[in-house]
Formats: sequence, structure tokens, C-alpha cells
Amino acid sequence: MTRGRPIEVAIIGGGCAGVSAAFELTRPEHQGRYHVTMYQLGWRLGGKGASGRGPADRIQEHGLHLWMGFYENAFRLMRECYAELRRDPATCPIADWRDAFTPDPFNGVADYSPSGRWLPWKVHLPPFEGLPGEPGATLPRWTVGEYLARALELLRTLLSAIQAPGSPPSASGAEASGSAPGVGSPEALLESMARLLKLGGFASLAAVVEALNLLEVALGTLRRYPMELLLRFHDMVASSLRGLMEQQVAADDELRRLWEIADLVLAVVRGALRFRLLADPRGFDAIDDYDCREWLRLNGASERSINSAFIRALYDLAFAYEDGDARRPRIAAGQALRGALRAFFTYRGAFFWKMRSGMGDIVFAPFYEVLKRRGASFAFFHRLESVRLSDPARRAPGERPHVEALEFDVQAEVAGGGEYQPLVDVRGLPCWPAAPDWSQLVDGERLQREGWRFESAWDLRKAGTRVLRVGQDFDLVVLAVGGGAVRGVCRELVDQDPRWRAMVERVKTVPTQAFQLWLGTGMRELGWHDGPINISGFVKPFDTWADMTHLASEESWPRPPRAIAYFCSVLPDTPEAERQRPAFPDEQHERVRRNAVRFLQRDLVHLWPRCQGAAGGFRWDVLMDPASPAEAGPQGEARFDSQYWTANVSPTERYTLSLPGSLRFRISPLDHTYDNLTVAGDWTDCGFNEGCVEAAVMSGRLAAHALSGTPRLEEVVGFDHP
Amino acid sequence: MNPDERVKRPEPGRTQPIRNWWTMFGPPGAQPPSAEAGAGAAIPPADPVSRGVEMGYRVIEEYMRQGQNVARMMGVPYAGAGGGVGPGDGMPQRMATLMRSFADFAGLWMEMLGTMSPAGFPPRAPDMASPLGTAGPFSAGVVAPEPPPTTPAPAPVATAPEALAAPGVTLELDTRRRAEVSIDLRMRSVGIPLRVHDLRAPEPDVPRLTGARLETAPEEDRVTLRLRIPDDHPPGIYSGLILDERTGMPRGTISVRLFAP
Repeated sequence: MTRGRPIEVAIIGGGCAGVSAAFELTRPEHQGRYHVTMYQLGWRLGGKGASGRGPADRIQEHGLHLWMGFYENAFRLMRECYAELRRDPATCPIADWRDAFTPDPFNGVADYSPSGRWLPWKVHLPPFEGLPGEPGATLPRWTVGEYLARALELLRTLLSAIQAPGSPPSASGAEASGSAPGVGSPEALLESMARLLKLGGFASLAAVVEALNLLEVALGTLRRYPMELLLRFHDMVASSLRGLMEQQVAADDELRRLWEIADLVLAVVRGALRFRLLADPRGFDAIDDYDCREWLRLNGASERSINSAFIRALYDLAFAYEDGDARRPRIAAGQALRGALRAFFTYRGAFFWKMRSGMGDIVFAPFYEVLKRRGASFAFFHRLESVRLSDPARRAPGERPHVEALEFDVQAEVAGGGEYQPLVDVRGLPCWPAAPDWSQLVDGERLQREGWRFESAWDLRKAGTRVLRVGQDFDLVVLAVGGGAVRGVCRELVDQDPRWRAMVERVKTVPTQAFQLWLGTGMRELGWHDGPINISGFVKPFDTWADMTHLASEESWPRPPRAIAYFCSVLPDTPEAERQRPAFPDEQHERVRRNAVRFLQRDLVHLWPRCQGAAGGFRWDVLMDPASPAEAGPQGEARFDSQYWTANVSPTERYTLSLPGSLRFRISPLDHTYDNLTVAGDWTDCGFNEGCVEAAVMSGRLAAHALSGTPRLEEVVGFDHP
Repeated sequence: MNPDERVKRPEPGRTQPIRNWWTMFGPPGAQPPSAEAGAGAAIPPADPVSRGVEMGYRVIEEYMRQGQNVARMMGVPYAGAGGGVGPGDGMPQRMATLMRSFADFAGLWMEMLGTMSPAGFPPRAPDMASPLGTAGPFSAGVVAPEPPPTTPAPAPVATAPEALAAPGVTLELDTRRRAEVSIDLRMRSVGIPLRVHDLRAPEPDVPRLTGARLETAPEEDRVTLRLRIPDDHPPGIYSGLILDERTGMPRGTISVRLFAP
């Protein structure tokens, strides 16, 4: 078929997934084959990553966003975007991707000591070679065996650290080294392991370290695994080690933490051998029906390790609490392992990277500008109401079902009929405002006066409706709305297709909460004596804190804040029926305010020992009010009202969980059931099935592949991965 | 609207990730006899590289043999009139997967040989940090110890980035049939006289594709594959090894997917 016009692609939802799909489909290499129109609720792109500039140009986020050093796809696209943008460093403070992202190696977990105190465990994660998203970089094809070898290498180093000072690991290792193998050949290696097995155990830690070295070499180099031998060998090592270590570390917090990690690594290796993950074609997916803690317990991890700060942080980072209930931590074991192994062993440059402005400004403004230059269209203020399918009765023989129409509510019309111009300039940097530019909208003054909330699922007011029809207004569709919104906008799909029905029932989402503080007092004066840090694993209602003081210079305060702090956590869910009430969003907003105030009054002192006044309670006077100087304005707890907080309860804002047994119900962007529809979002089956920027970008790239054949699947980093 | 006029998505090549490259070519958990008998088995006398090559050949041959045996076994009931495995069981697809996996395996073997250090251990990929001293995140606050002396130090791979670029490939296919060709060739193969094995299908009775030739043009950093496919050749997936003609060592693989006319 020859066409006189480009293929019209409707992308619904301008979060990371939708923007990535648009970026791929509008690449110059396609020579204009696809014309993309992005349909977006409200006035800004970003989805869960949207941010806006509020009073004093302060950055207001949906939550806390850190990019991990293994986000290869996300960084790759970001780098390409900035390169294409060619911003002038003389006029724009963030011209290059290196201006936009800054390494963040100082991290921690909140550890609760048996002595009854919260003790942050702080680590400077070493920089690994390279930078994320390096163009042209060939990444290794990781295998389970190689991951386990790396984990054992980590374990050996931990054990060496646990040993008493002055006794280097090999100094007393005669027992093992006496039998030490010529590890130069696979056969000799296996022979040595078999010989050591006959000993039945190791009497010294040094011997265990040597034995671990054997196991590590075996897992890292053998290409066919004699599972029984490896498992027996591992169990002997683990048993010896536990016997040697368990009692010794109880009284020493530092040693206890190291041993907890060691214990977890032993359980992971044992589980991988017992569950034959090295040889399973499903890779880590093979254990996705288990909860991660449950699987670790099954494989010998101690209760203390399973409840350690490290594991808590693992769950916190993925908001992995079913229904937001802190008593129900649940995450699919395979995906949790995949995530942890990728995070720790494949990061480049730094473990975390922080953005030097709001996520909207750093990510979505540059993408918006590049996409505009490439000719993409943007239809803001479009709320998807329904995806209509072709009538089965009218389908030609052999024809697949397809999307026939897309029905939108148009929330507001743009004055003059042109495209809405969404960005504002903040000292040379294109940014997204925290509220729409009412002056661009038809009847904008009235809409503002009446308080229209374009991003709220509870405000259904509209200026009109619009129906897009296949063949006329669009040819292909990328459904890139938030996972929580699928059930509402795809009612026909859910009714007619059991797979879609199973997906919306099994792939659950959860609300989240966050607040931000601008402080007139430095962190040292609040009792935090280390550098800027991110900490997870702390108490509910806010288990994660990040020091974001580096953003102070990006905002426009008369006197810059001396510290900025972001907090976030899961928000316990409410029954579906309650969520329908019009007052629900305001109630949740107030609920988060109360949570934050209680947290500041009662809990934060464990991290910031001097954040309380002499009479107890949080020092409210340290909060900076953009509307008035410190001495004026509301005092006491009321001063918190000048800060920013959010209850992310709208369906589009809810976070997608990776519950055990649920991942197989996800639908892939590559699924071909509907011949003009693909899906994108971190709720899809995209290879890395955990809610994060990288998963969303991967899904967007896969969606582009599904429609155009590019990028090749091999170029979607981490898609083919155990 | 007329379904013929409507724009549709292309047919996907696959819809799922490849989670395990090593087991794509055999039933999960299957162990070749040599690996089970690993402990105490006789050690080949040659140096690690030669031994690696030898083992690679052995394993590749083993999988070729297994694939053909399976095809032969499955072929009997499939060809027969009653019961057994029918087309609906997806056996041709499984066979195709088996053969593609063979190609993957061979490719990986090439990769391993290409990076094998003198000590006989494949080092980490060039863009990853050396494992020495990389204790991971949890060594903070304690002195990172020197690695035990028994840990073999991987040789640094200091290849310049441009040297890692894959050579360009020109295809000269003499055929009227629709075919998909993939070539997995080791780095720095241009300039080496290359020989291509006949391309074989998983089914033992299907004729081979013969006469494939690879010519290299070092000045252009390019190789040219010349292959003639007869019009009546059965559709399927055909794979073969690329060898260094001087040493007989494998340099890569070729896979041809031939569609039905």
C-alpha cells in the first residue's frame, strides 16, 4: 500500500513511556514516516514524573525522583535528547545532560539497632566505570551465573571486612589453600570442590573465604553447571559460615549489618542453585510467584536478615506494600532480585543520579522541545474517556480486532485555536509551571476563579468532547496512560478481553504520599553532620528522605534556603467505594498533611537529632514561607502549610506494584492482539517489571518497536536479561 | 473503512525477552555427560585457549547431534499417519528455536574465546569495572582489602573503541525467495580468510544450503557474503559456522531464515 501522508500515531499520555515512544517514532531516520500527536491530560507532560514551579519558583514534585545508575535506556535517550537540543551554555544553565544530572554516591538505609536506636547506615558507593547511557557502549550479556559470581565476590569481601583486623583472609587459610585447586581449568576446579566436600566443613573463616572463591570462580566461568555438586558445596560453606559468624556479630552493629548482607547473599546463591535458575529459560521470572522475603527465608536466610534495613529499603524503594499496608510487604522475588542485581552490579558512574532541577524541567521540557522541532503535535487538556474497539460483526474474515475510535473530553479550549504553549522561562531554563497559564485558555479567567483542577480524576468539568476515528484522525495508537487509569478508560477492552480483565484485576496499584521542606537552617544545625544523603528503610508514614539542598540555587528565593528535604512513602489505600466520593482527594490531601506533621513532631528526630526545640516538638520556625519572611506569617504548626505536600491518589498517579504472582498478567507492548494498538508504561510486561523510569522508557521503546520495527529489541538494554 | 487500507502494526519477530541464553538450546536442567562427570574427569593437556576451542567444538557438535536426533525422533510420528506429534504442537517452531539457539550458543562461544585471558578465564566485559577491589556497596567504612592471591586477575582489555566496531556486511544473495540473514562475526575478522560451513537445517533430511562464501575487504572494513538459494529449496532456518581458514578456529555463525515461496 502506498500512502501520500505520514502514518498518524496517537500517543495518549505524556509520561516517561509516552515521551520515549514519541522520541523513537520521530527519529530523523524514519524520514517523517510517522507523525505523532501526544494527547495529555491538563497542562503539563510528565505523568508521575511531572513537576511544576510554584511560589518563589520552587520545584514541586509528585514525589522523590532519583535516577539509578543502571537506567541505561533512560539515560541513553536523555543524552540523545540534550545533544539534539543544542542548548547554548551561555544562556541556559542546564545545556548538557551532565549539567542536568549529578552523581549521587552517598546513600544509606535506616537501621534499627538491637540497642533500641535508629542508626543510619551510610555508605559511599564506589563509582563504577563508564557513564550510564554511553552511546555505542556494548553492554555485557549478563547471566545468572555471572551475577552469582559477583555476589560471591561481594560476600568474600564482606567476610574479609568482618574478620578481626590484622588477620588477612588468606593468612590462615591453610586448610582450604592446602587443598586449593589449580583453578585454571574447569575440570580441576570441580575436582577441588569435590575433594573439599569430603572434609564436611571448614574450621576457620579464612578457609570459608577460600572456598567461596572456588564457588565464585565456578559460577563465573563454568558454562554447564553440575548443580548438585555446586549446591552441596554451597550448603557446606554456608553452614560453616553461619556456625562461625552468627554469635560473633550480635553485639556489634557494624558487623551485624555486614553479616546480614552476607547471609542474604548466601540465601540468594542457594536459592538460585536449588531453583535451578542458572538453567531455567525463564530466568528470574521462574520465582516471581514467591514474595522476595518468603523466597529468601525458604533458602535459609535468617529472620534478622529478612527484616534487616537493607531488605526494608528494597521494599520501600518499590513502594512494595500491598494496599499500602506496611504489614503486607510483597514484591515478586524474581523481579526484586533482577532489580537488586542490576542496581548493584551494573550501575555506571554512580549508584544514584540526582537531577539538578525538577524532573519536569530536566526531562520533559527538553523532550517537549525536541519533539516540537521534529514536528510532533501536542494536544493538552485532553482527558481520555474511552477506547472504542471495532465491531466484531463488521470485521472482515481474518481481520484482527483494532481500535476504531478514541473519545476524549476536552477540558479547555485554547484561545485562538492554536496549540497551548506550556513552558515558562526561569532564569534561562524552560520549565513547567505548577498551574496552567489561564490566559491562553478560552474563558480562562472564569476557569481559574472556579478552581478547575485539570489533573484531578474527581473534577470532570469539560469544555467539549472530541472523537478521533481510525483512518481519519489516527492510524496507530500508543496507550501510555498510568497503570491505575487503564480500567477506567479501556472499559470495552476489559469487558471483551479476558487478558485485559485479568491484568486490571491482578496488576494492582497503590497511592503514594510525599512532602517537601524548605529550611532556613542548615542540616548541621539540625543535627545531621554528614553530606547530602538519601535514606530509605525508615519508619512509616515516611520511610524515605533525600537531601535536595542542591536545588536551592535553581529556585528564586530572596534568601535561598539553607536546606531542602524531600520525603516520600506509600499511602495506605482506601476501599474503592470511598474513593468515588467527591471529597476524597481533599480528604487525602489533609491526611497527608497530618501524616507529615506527626512525622516531623515525632519521628524525624531520630535522623535529625536537633530538629526539635527545647520543649520538644519540631522547630516549625526553621520552615521557610515563600509568602513571608521567617519572622512574619503563620507560626507554629500552621507554618507547615507553607510547605508542599501531595497525596497521589488519582488513578493516573497511583504506583504500579510488582506483587508475587501478578507479573504474568501484564500485557507486553509487543503483544499483537490488536493490530493498531500497543501499550506503554511501567505497568506493562516490558522486561523490567517494576515501577520506575527505566521500565517506563523500556516500554516506550518497545511500543515504538511494535509499531515501526525500531529500535531493534537488542538495542533495548536489559530486555533480554535473566 | 476497508481493512486493506487501514494501517496495521508489523508482525512481531518475537514478543518475549530472552531470559537465558544458555538454556535456549536444550531442555532446562539437562546436563551433558561431560559436565556431570566434571569432578575427576581427565584434563585435556593443551593450553587453556586450545582447550577452550576444543571444548567449544565438542559442545557445538554435541548440540548439533542432539538437535538432529531430536528432529529425527520427532520426524517419525510427524511424518506418519496416526497419532504422534502434529503440526499444531509447534514442533517446527521448536526446532527452529533449537537451531537459532545453536547459533546463539556458537556466537557466545566465539565471544568467550575472543576475550579469554592467558589464565584461561574470560575477563569481564571491557566496559565493566575490573572485579578486583570492587566490594560492591557494603565495604564503606572499612578498608577494602586486597584480593586474595588465589583470585586470578583478569587481564585488562584495552581495546580502543573503534577497534570494537563490527565490520560492515554486504549481502549478495542470488535468490528469488524471501530470506532473512544474520551474521555474527567476531571483531577483527576482516582481512582473515574465512570459510563458511554448509548451512544446515535442524531436520536431518532437509538438504543443506551449500556454496556460501565470505570475502573480506580490509580497506573498507567490510565482508561480503555470497549465497545462492535455489528456488525450490525447502523453507526453514539454516545455520552454519564461519571458520578462520588458516587455523580452522571458529570466527562466527551465519543463520538464514528462508520463507515459503
